[in-house]
Amino acid sequence: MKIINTDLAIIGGGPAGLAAALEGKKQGIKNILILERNDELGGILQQCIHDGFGLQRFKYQMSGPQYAQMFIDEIEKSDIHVKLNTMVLDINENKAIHAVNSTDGVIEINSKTIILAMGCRERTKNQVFIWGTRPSGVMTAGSLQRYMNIEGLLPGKKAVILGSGDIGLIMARRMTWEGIDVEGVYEVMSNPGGLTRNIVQCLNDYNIPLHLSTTVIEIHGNHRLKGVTVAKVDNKMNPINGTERYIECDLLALSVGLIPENELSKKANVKLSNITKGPELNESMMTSIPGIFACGNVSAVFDLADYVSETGELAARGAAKYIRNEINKESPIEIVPGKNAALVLPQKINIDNLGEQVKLYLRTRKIIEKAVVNVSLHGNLVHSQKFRIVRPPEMVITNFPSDKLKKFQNRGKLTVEIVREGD
Amino acid sequence: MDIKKYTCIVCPMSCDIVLKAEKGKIIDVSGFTCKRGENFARNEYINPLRTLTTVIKLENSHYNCLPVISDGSIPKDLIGKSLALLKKISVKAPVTKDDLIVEDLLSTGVNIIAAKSVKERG
Repeated sequence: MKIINTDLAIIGGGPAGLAAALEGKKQGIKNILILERNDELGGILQQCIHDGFGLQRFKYQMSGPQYAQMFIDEIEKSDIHVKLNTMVLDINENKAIHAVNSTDGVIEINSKTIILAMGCRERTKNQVFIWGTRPSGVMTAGSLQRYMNIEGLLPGKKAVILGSGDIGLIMARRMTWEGIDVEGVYEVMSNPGGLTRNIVQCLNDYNIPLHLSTTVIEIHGNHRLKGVTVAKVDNKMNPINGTERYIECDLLALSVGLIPENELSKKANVKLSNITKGPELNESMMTSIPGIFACGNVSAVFDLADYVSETGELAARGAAKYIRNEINKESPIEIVPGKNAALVLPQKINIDNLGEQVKLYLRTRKIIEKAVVNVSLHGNLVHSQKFRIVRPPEMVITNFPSDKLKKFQNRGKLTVEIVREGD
Repeated sequence: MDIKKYTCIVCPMSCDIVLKAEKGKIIDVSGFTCKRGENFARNEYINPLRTLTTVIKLENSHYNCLPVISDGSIPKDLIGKSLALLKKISVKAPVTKDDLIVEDLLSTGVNIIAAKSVKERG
């Protein structure tokens, strides 16, 4: 078996992994290796041909492949090693990675540091809960996107979309453009799951109806999907009798949420958070196993690729500090989501490890206009930031100078809450 | 008076913008939080613009499709016509990001460019 020794091994070459590799190089890490399962770098960006990427980072909008190419061009100019078509099978607690590809066979990579950047996967849970048969033509919005944008295939003629996540909305427009009749988008919740701008430019522009508090309750068809039955749901999300409606269709696309991909994190035995469903991370994006870091959608599902890349860079700076032995492995402060905060990233902080700024990524449980994010340590308010509006599909980001924390003891609970101004 | 409500699509802020017009002339725009938002609403009233992204046929590569993008915004009404035109086009790898695919699309002054670099079939 081929054995490779490296300073930093990055698992996944998407927006998180690519940014991590480039930042690692900038921080002076010598041997960097990216392990990518696909036959090209870029991750999911390559099939996200729509625009809207990079506004935060590059100050103008571009499509997914363009965003990826910005990083890929830099990688190709550098001495960062890339192994494509390489599947990572296992990581152990001693930071040994086992991977396989068709040229090297099985390889072992012993790395001083590892960054987990595998991204997320689409939730299919709800799919299992729908009554009826299992014909072809039922697929996740991401699979549909791959068929249409990478393979160049049309997987149906008339579609129903279940779930109003962003990929579903984007695909509603994409299908319309390619001549697939999109009957409607059905969302079980009373609020849309995707960004408002996507509802406007992907549904409203093409008069595609969005049915809230409505879901698919039955799938019909033997070999090929023939139709679905939809029904309105009550406030406990139970279908309401008498509201059932049959829709003829040969395509059902599911856009019902994303979950961090953590099969490998589990094999490495890093501690996972019940809240983010990703690894528990400290301010340097380090997991419970010193030297193993995580970033991007592995750590929590982000709404923008820009933030995904940003956390990749944060993890790379953490890895560089770890290699130089400059990181304090203890995390005495626990970060807790307070009122209205669905999740906060990171989950732990050591004041001694902080750079100039502390940056917290959070999600709100509900829409709050004129919102205020309050950060308190042992009950002392250390930071407060106003937002015009916060919405569940959008990551809320708050940052403040680390000095605000440094006057306090390096222990206890840091609570982050989102309240209405004046409350 | 004509009162139009728009949700801005320029950035994820999704500002709610109200535009007031009289006899086709814009007299007031409010609710935006940046200049781009104001411009968006004004355009939306006069001539709605959108960025076009799609894939075109790719030859000499192990990929079937090349993602392309308009290098500016085109009138919303021209999207269907533009897509029909792009369906007839195919390019040969190698392709470099930003390569010109269609110049001056339907006399809009906007070009269609390659969104990624693709090597030829090895």
